Amino acid sequence: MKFYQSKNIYSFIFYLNLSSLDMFKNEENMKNIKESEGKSGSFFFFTHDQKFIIKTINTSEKEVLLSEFLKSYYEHIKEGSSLITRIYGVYEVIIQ
Amino acid sequence: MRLLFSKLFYNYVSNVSKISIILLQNLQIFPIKQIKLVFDLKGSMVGRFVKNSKNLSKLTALKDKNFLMKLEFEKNLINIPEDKCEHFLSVLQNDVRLLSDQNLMDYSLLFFIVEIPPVDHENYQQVWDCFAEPGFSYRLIKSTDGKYIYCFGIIDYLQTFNIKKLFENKYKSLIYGSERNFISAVDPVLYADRMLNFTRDYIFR
Repeated sequence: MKFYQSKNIYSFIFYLNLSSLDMFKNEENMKNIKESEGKSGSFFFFTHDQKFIIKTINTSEKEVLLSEFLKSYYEHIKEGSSLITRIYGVYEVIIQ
Repeated sequence: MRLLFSKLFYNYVSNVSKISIILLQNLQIFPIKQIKLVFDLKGSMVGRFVKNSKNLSKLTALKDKNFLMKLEFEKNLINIPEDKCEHFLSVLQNDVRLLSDQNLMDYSLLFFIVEIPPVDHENYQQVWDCFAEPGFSYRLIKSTDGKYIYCFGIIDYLQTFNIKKLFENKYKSLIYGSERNFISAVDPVLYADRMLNFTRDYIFR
């Protein structure tokens, strides 16, 4: 029996519409996860309303995110126009 | 949210005990019927070509070489008002500077070309509504001729120089030998410049 616990490392999403991430609304498209795997082998999931992508990242990507990058990135996008695709949150799922 | 994450990874996980995930903005919010082309651009030509095959959907992101070919074929594919060109170039410049300052590289510019349907078309409203989506207004440009909406986004930007360098070193030094100065091809500052020059030459011109 596995136990899942997700830890919120960093999140901007408190001001977003959370129905995008509602489990029941996403149940239908969870059936097709396998097909939406990315080239890099990372896991991709598109939410039912197509607004968000849930994607796994590897250790080095995580290190980048949790380094000083996140701070300067946040300052950068706060100022307005930027073409950088937004990251709304970083999470960790721990399986016990 | 926690429930969704847990359920999502229930079948995916085999023997790892910890997964890191990010919640990302999805740039593909347009009605699929209206999407004409999608490109994943890096400003490089090496290996940047997607072969034509039956499996390609119109949502398959084509690459730099495909992009130049399409541009050759349809000269008026990209027509952007001059003031928008200037603005987008300066925004992009700030973006790539942030990334190169953080030693990041190998990111792509995702570029959608969306056809604007006639006023009485069922998708007309939905296409224009994209401008009101949070996080989208500053990504979109209406073409000068009024045929298209262009959408831009930088993706895959969490690759650091070090990892890439290691990877490139392993393979390219085997292929080209050590005298080849391939390091220049992966330096974050040069990577940013190359991306910027490419968009200046072919998109925001």
